[in-house]
Amino acid sequence: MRLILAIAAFTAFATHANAHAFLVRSDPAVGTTVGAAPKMLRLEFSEGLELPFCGVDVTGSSGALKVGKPRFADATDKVLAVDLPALQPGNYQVKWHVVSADTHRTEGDFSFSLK
Amino acid sequence: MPGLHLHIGLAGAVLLLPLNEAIAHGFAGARFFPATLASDDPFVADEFSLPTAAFFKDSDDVRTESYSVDLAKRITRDFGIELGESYVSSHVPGGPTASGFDNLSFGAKYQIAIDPVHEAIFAVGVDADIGGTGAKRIGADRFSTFTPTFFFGKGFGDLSNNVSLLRPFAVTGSMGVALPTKENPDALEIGLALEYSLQYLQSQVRDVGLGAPFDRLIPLVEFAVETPFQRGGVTTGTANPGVVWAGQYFQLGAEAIIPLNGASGHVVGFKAQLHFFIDDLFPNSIGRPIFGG
Repeated sequence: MRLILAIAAFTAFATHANAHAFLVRSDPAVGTTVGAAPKMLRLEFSEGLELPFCGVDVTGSSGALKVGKPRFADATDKVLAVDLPALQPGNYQVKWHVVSADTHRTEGDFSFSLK
Repeated sequence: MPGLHLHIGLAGAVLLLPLNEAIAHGFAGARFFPATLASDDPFVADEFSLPTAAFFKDSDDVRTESYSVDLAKRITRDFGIELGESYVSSHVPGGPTASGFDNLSFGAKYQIAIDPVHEAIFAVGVDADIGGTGAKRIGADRFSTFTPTFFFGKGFGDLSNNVSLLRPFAVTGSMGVALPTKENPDALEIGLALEYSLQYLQSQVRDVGLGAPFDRLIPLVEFAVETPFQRGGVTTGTANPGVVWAGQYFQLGAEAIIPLNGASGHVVGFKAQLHFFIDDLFPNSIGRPIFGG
């Protein structure tokens, strides 16, 4: 019981903290094939983000696409959105890097396909 | 010779305990490596394990319970120190129970290189098991043992898309030479962990629709082996299949302890760990490196 109380007290001191941001889900989803060309790429993370330090690159068979700077997709600070140009059928590679509110940097990449 | 039996049994039981409980998690590129339970891994970190509990029987049927506390602190971004202590309770069949603290362990580790693209890390370190700081009655050595160790970690995220479902695999390992300051022979200590990250599968390879808590599970199997250099020395070791759940601020791990040969025991044991990420809990104070944070 003492141990449980100590652990509870330990974590209670840190309830304001943020952690490393992991990609929770994306739209288009990681590794999937979609039938219609998405107009926007949406990336949802596990933590709040520092927008100025976040970036998203999308590459197709003809090279890097112009996707512009990411913005928050909703009122939270956990979902990034980038507008996509008109996509042609093929495979696309997404590379992202983010900095969570506590300054931890994480990165990742995945692909999706358009039929 | 019950006294001799007790002494040998307890010494064997304590030998099966790792010199330094595993502690450290970290990133190499997109790869998150959890802290492993049986073998130390290559990262320096700000972390706290409270507790690591282990229950097992050695080859002499000595039943041992141990409860360990480990603390790791980054001095710089690439250099850190670790401190560990265990409370051990050993029950000899038909004999008395001996309990007490094991020797204090102190370690230092330096990350030589991290390759984010290939999800690779290399580190070197040394662990000191400080003789005489533990209880004689549980067989804690009266002499110190120094173990210089080489560490590595490698994620398989750079495999081709033809074998994309293998990309969540990662391996960490360590190879060290235990150098006692007296009597006991030098020994080679090898640790290996093979991991499959469902979080990596979900966010890097294919969204298979896993929800919480399964999207943060990392099934793994660890191997911890010790081979004395002395001729005729007996190799001991365990295979530890289990699972780690890595959350935002802490991780939970549980593993079976399966003896690899008769000299390592005859009964399957169990190990569990609650492990806090101090760098995530206190990112602006004690969770930062002392210098260069």
